Amino acid sequence: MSGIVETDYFLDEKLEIITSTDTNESEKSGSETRKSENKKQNVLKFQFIEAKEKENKLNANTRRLAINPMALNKNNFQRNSIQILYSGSIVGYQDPKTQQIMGVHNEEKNSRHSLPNLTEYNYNRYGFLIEKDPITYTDKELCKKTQFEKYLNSKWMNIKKNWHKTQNKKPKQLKKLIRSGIPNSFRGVVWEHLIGSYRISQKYPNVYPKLISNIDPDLETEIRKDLNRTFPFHENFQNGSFQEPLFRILIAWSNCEESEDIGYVQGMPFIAGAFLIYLTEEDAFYAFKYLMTKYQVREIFRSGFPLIWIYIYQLEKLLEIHLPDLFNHLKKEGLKLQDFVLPWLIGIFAERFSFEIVVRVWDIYFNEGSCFLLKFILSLLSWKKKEILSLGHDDIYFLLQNLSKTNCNIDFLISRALNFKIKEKELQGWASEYKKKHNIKFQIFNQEKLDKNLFIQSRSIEKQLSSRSSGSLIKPGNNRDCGISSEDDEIHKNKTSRGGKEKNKTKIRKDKKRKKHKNSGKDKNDWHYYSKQKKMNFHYNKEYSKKNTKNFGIQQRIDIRIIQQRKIEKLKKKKKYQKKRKKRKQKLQQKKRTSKSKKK
Amino acid sequence: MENFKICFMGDQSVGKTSIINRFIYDDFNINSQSTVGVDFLSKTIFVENESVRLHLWDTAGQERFRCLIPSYVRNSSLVVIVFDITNKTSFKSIEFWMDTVQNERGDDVIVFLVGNKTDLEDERQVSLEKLEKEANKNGFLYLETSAKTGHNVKQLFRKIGISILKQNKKRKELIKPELDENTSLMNISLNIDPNKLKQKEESGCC
Repeated sequence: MSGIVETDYFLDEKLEIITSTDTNESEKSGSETRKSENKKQNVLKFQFIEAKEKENKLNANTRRLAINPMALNKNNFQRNSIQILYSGSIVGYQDPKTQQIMGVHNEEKNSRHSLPNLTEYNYNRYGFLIEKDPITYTDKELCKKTQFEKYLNSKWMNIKKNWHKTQNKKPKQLKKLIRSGIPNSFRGVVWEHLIGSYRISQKYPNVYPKLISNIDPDLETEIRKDLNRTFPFHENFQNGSFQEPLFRILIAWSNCEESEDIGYVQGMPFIAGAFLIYLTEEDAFYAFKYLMTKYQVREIFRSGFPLIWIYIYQLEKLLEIHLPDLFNHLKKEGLKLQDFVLPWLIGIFAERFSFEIVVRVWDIYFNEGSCFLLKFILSLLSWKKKEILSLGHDDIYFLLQNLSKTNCNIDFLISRALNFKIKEKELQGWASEYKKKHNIKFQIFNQEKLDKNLFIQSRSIEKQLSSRSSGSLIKPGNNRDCGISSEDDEIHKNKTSRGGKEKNKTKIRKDKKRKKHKNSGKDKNDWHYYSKQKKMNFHYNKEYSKKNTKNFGIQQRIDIRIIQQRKIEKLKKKKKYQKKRKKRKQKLQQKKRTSKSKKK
Repeated sequence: MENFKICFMGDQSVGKTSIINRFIYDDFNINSQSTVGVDFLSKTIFVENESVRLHLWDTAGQERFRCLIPSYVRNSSLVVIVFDITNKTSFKSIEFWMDTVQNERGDDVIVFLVGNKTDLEDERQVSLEKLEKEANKNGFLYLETSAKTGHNVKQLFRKIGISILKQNKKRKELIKPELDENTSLMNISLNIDPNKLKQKEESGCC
């Protein structure tokens, strides 16, 4: 199906002919990234297009061109070609030398996505209101997209079933798949796995309600001001159905131990809200918390925004290396990176960019770390490089601020971002340089540390509950001092009546112990705590060792790689040693033989 | 055409962004997104037969973001401090904003006090007299606006344009006589470097 089908398609229409610019790059990339797909699919697509064409030829006078996408992709043709515009959209290209015309058939675009249809589908697949005309695809692209999604779905089904195997044994394959976008239906679960908060809400069900219970009135007014203003164009935020869960998540976060020096900052609701779109309330909270701590996002929000300054410092260095002319131009115009990069980074793109882009960037960010954020910014800048170089100070600001509103092909941007080769060592070196200069220190949270904290928390909550219940048994009069309502007492009594004699026996033993302890002169609460903690530590060690071999985050994976490398090195050494031994033996044997032969 | 920077400051959800949106797009959204960091917009207006280009820097109101604001105040020729007339605390925090401005620029800047949300007259907690007092104490300009109904918003920006032009003229007048003296001196002594003169001009402007 190579080559061009020639028609007199353009004869009836009024055409504007304009020399080509870079605007068609985005279209190119969409098909470029999927070049690597199976050839079978390609054949299918063409059959599809042919059938469509036949229909249309029968129906109307309009005739259309079918083109080989590979031929279109070849840069030489497009760069020197003349764009043919019809009512504002690109219809085809004309080669100035041969005067060949290559068309992109776009009529169906108009018929498919015409306005009356739009009113029926007001929200896009992420639940956001469609404001402007969405990016429209040609038939080929749509066909490709649907088939590609099917292919991805089947792949991800397998991965979902045995996640840990694929994460540990096939990290490269997983990386590739994530880079091409996680399907929307799997995104929530995969994010949880990547962040490391999978099923934590089920393990520690009592922690979240405890965190919600304390609400600081000042904080409440502060947060409530922003609730109406997060994702105002999302379906569920417009209803108000997501606002209360979001509020609770933010309250829970500000009550956490990990948020002591941070609290609530504008920009957080966008991140938490994005999680809410994919996960249930409690799961969204844990995902949010783990992102804040493990990925050091909390340092973005700390007073003075230390992490953002580090990112900007790194970006400056990277710009100097990868896009030197752009760097010099920005310097000449007196533009500071912070003015446009800071608002992008504060919500990790969630606040400024359309959700379609945010989600794709986050997919890769969760898997590959903050390095990708910098790469993505570089790709954004390089995408608009030509325009930026021709503009002055104010217009550049405008351009960069409205970048999020312009339609752009995400696949193209991501593939461009991944083409930048950045060494992690360099980045870390710059970061530590900046930290030394400004005396900044970050708290580091591992998966282990977080899980341990959660475990201790849940245990202490359990203990509190149990101490309350036991206290009510011994001296019901004391409850008032503890601040327990009478309803609780009744519940506990009912429970004890159901539990047989054995429970009572154990409680009597405990009472005896307590009495002994009283005689010794120390506080009973202290002793109680001590004994519980002993048990807890025991339990912790037991359970923890089982749990955490399963949930591997980025750092753990790196650790594993290091261990594996060491093993391999050891093996190599062993082999070398063995070879030497063999050689020695052989030499010795030869010597013996020679000596024997001499004797003879 | 001359460019002027204007910095908008004030507490959280006071209506800074919606005033600017009313001015530029003549539009009002109840559920506008909260500003995180800084926003930048610009528009040209015609005042007294002159066209002036205004660069509007819309800053975030939350406490954590206050550390960013000084760098924007540094280069701006006018500062607008916005508060909510239905919210006393936002009025009280005006003092803080004035301090930040004075620390950065002294009395070099024109300051505008703006009370927003006059459409909520029933919930009013800050009277106009209070505003007047506060403004007269420091010699600031003041206005009450409503971004929702568009009340006084156009006037606000016209006043901003007029006052900026006035200040600009004053500055130019201040610079000119100095120059004349210098030129007369030049005639006498002839030893003055032309570079020094340029430096003086620049320092006067900025």
